[in-house]
Amino acid sequence: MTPEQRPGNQLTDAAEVLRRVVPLGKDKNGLPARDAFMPDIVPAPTKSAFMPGSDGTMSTHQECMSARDAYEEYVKVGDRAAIGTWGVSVGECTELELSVYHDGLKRHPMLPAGEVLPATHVSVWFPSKTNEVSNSRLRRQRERIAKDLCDFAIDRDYLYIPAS
Amino acid sequence: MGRMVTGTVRSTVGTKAARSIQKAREDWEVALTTRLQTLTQLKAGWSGAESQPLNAASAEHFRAFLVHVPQARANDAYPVLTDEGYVRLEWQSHGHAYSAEIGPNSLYMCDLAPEAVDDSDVELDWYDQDRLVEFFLSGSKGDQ
Repeated sequence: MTPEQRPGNQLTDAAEVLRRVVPLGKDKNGLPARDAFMPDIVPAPTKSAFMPGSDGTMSTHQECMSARDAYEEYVKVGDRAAIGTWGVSVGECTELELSVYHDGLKRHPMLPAGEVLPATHVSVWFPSKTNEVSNSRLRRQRERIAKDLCDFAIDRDYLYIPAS
Repeated sequence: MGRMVTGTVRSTVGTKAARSIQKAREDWEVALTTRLQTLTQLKAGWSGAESQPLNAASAEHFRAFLVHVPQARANDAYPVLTDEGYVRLEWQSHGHAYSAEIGPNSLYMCDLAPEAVDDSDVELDWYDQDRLVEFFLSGSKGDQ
């Protein structure tokens, strides 16, 4: 998907801190694991552990949603459990050459037909697969980006963790 | 007589130290297996809609791997769950950020160096515990 085809509006306010909820499975002794900042898995029958989806995005929420509300919205779905909410800024994403799109109320491949993303949803777009980039290199790039995002988030400290 | 007492004291102290070390190892092994049990309880959709529960073979590989983990590296072996349902390890050493993903029939090892240009990784389409142990203990991924 080319940048022009990405749904939503690109965010440019470098100071806006996006909300990323960290699930229990990606807890590393009370802090987010780097894996918590990898692109979300998307349905793809041929996808393997080493074949990232061609359009990798990481789900976050706009700053206008409180970190607590982001957490509450996350854990109310199914049996989800999370350790809290951390943040990365639009400026930090831009520094890593990631584009950030507010795509709330838009459709998404992960959602059932007819459903749309939450109003405050923001997608952080990771590098896509191209003919020039091997799967191995793409995977490595994403590992590097996830590490840098995680470092930013940990340096900022958590935005919200539940009292219990 | 005095030497016997001293020897007995040394022996007692040595036994207590050995017990203490053994107890410490048991404690962190319990902590890691408790964490693994927590991951086992996560159901499909635990992260995103497509996220998978812990793969049983991956968990078994991880349990077998724990035998080779020195007590001083216990924190590095704290398991994380990937969206694919695989056990993932993350640790840092000497400016490098390492990760390994244990699949049922696969192993991914990544070394993020202080300079991105030196980053490297290896993907195996089979699981190789010896390679994982070597990577975990020395940072060496071996040959493809």
